[in-house]
Amino acid sequence: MTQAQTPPLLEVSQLSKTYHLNNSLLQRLAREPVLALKAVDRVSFSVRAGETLGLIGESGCGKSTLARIVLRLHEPTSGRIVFDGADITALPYREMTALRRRMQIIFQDPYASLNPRKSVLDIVGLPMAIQGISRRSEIRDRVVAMIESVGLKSEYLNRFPHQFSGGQRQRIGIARALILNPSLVVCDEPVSALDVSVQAQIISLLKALKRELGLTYIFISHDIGVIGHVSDRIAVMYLGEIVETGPSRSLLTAPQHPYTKALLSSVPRIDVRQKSERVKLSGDLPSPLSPPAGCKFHTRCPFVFDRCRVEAPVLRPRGPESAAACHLLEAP
Amino acid sequence: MPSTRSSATEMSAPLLSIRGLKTCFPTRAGLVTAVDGVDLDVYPGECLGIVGESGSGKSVTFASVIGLVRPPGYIAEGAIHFEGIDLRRLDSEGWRSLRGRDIAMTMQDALTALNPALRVAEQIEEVILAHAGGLPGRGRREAARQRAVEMLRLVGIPAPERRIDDYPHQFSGGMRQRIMIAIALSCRPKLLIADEPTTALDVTIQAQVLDLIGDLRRELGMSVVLITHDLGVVAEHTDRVAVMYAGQIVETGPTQQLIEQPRHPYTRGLIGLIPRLSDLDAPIRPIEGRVPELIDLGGMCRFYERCEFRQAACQSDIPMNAVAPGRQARCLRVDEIPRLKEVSQ
Amino acid sequence: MNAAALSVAPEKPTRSPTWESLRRFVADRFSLLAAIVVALFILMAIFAPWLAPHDPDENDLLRRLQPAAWMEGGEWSYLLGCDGLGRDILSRIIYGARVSIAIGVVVVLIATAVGTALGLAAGYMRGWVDILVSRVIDILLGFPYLIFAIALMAMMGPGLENIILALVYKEWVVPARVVRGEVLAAREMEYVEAARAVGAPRLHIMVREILPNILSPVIVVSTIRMAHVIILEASLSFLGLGVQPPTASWGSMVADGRAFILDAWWASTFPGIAILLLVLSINVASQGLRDAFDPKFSD
Repeated sequence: MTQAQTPPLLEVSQLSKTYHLNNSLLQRLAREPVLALKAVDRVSFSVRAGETLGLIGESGCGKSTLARIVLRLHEPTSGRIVFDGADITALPYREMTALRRRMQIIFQDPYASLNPRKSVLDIVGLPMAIQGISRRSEIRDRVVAMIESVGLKSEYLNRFPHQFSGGQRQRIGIARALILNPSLVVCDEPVSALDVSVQAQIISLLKALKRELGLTYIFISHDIGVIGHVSDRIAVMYLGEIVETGPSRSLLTAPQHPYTKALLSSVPRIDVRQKSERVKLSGDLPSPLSPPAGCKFHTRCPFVFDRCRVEAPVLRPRGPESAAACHLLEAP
Repeated sequence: MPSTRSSATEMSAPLLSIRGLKTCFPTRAGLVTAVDGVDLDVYPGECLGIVGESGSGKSVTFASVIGLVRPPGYIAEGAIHFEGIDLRRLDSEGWRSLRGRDIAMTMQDALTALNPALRVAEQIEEVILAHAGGLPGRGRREAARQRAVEMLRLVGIPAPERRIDDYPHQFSGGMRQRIMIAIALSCRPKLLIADEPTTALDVTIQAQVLDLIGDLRRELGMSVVLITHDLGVVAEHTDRVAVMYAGQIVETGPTQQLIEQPRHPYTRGLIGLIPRLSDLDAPIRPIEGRVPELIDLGGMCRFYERCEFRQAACQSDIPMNAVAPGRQARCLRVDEIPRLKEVSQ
Repeated sequence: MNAAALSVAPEKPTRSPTWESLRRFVADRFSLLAAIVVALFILMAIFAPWLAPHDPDENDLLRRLQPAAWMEGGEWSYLLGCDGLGRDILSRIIYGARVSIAIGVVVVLIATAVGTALGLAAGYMRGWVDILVSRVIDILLGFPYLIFAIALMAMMGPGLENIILALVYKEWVVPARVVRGEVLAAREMEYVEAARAVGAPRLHIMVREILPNILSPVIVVSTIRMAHVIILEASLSFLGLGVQPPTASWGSMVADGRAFILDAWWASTFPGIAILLLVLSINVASQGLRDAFDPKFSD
């Protein structure tokens, strides 16, 4: 593989984010215990230029927080983020500005991600204005070209977000993210708020734009169908940790971690006959405030044994480019 | 796994029968006909899936059935019969005794559908007591509480004796959805209408809740209408399905057949745009264009603008055309559709 | 159910949300009427020298407590009668509107500007700025408004500037609290995160992204508060701590007429009605504004 030789565009190691709740002055005076919520727990991964890394997991698994830390929208508690060879973990906000040209984000909710008081021109043109391009005509020309390439008409330039449908709004959000020609784009559940037929339109658009502009995606979703369709590699998250990673095909056809297996077999599918035996989980997601000891998945795992309750498994290589964190997989 | 419907149920009289239902909402932009001429039967013991995107009229259809169309919306035309009772003629007294006891509905958003200020116990007992025909006069409360605990156990809430006195916010999303199902089922309804019961839930929890509804259906022998936007859910959990588009039913039939060989271009499009895990390289084909506005739609096929197979003749009112016993599609080219190739992009 | 959200007309003409709100406001007849009354009061204050039939400060002891025109002993050139010093009440009301409205507008403008800036900083930056601003707000809220203003006036002495200062000292708290609350909600919106993702400076995010979205409640609250400030000014003038004689002020007119209330009710009643009418109109108009700007009422 030639891909393997190129250095990663993004490399993240041992990244953690802990939120402290009950931490106000008053609560500290009242000696209430400080609750630590480990939203992201020692996560490491890398993304090569030109590939799409799919991040999948259920709500509250920390996938969106992880993406925002990578873009330095949230500050990591510990760990390291290296973007294109440069350590950006501690870069001050101002110095990040120049880098933000190259890393952008597409948001989940097309109703909340566009400022309702601004026109399409202002919304899509904002990144250029921030980056110091002040010529109105230059911004306008670029915005027109951009919104046309995401499938909107140039007449829409002076309209306001409330005049668009969800799918159209998402296209405006995509135009805003791509106007500075970024190399890395984080897509945070970009289609989960949309109707299925619109979802397919947006996914094809994202795939086409990736081809044309040579983008690298981190694609976050809870929908395995969508993830499987867009990703080259997939990382599965559970309660703030990556439990399995691997190339899409092998991860989806031969999942190794019991959680991945359960996730895959739980997805309702139209091709019912080709479906594998369901791995049934019991119970609910444990509270992230008090995650179970040992393997965090052990409370719901159908294959749990004694070791899982005391010792946390480590993410270990399980084949070419694959890794999983499960005691079951350890050779006896 | 959905049970295959026996020919016996095919013959039996429908439990719920809807004919020519038309529900309208006056808006500033004009009169929106959210449901336009829906005919539908639900047979005893079956699980019927209603699938469609937002604005297709799938929720409004069943809000009309149980008399909960939100004002200023109203039912303009049509007949709705449940076990021979004309639901459109029912007064509020009649509704009170029917809703909850014979027909129950669960809402999409369990967090807002449950009263946050009342304990779960009170909310279930209230429904049981309201329809407490079979409960003894003395000790009714005790009996109601026992029944409520039983229901919570049935839907898989751990330690129900203890948790019944908790408030809704003390439960997780999946648990709240189960509580809503418990409330809906507490009077053993003959028909359960489940409106997007799992949309707010994660897949592993979704699977648990849908299995539960299926198990309870078989156990209690009730009919279930499963309203969803997810064809996968329909495929795995229903016997029969009706596909809705822009206020109309465009195709109905046994689930398996309909998904394997759709006869309406919209159904075919919907199936084509679902990413398949079994074939990652199969392209997903979006349906271009958008749903028409439901105001002053003239007499023509509503999918016309987006249809790959349209003809001049499609610019007229299209009736449901029979395909096979129990299968219909609202398309002039029903017989050709399976053979037609997509226009390549 | 979700019929209103079914589809967005794609070919609607371009209109900003603010424009839509104003259109709704104008469509509400009752609040429009109230707004017109307020506008008339403002015009009256501006054009007082041309509108007033007499010099408001001109004493004429022969006309002391002369009744209104339609009563016995009244005269049509002194429509609303005269006060205890024989000054024309109508002219004094017309001139008094200048004091009331000027103080109302100036106090609210300054308070809103200060309060918005502090609320924005507290809500967006959080940390010590928020703690400082919030604690000061809490402390100021602990004082009864009128007593606070009386104490300040007693220290600073009477005078127009001092009234304005005395009222602003506490009045900014109201917009500051409203703004802080709105900002706390708005800063979590994804469009704010989107601006941060392109590296927008903090000031840009506060002023250009957040401020326009929280302006409607601020405008609504400010108009309601204007009515409140007008009453406070009248109260201070009534207590003799406000505008000093002979300058006409509605509050001091009510106070002056109080001594003759049984013999000459018009001397304090008419300025009282003026206060009532203006305050009521402002309140009704601001209710209309709130309905027009509240997204819950928009479809």
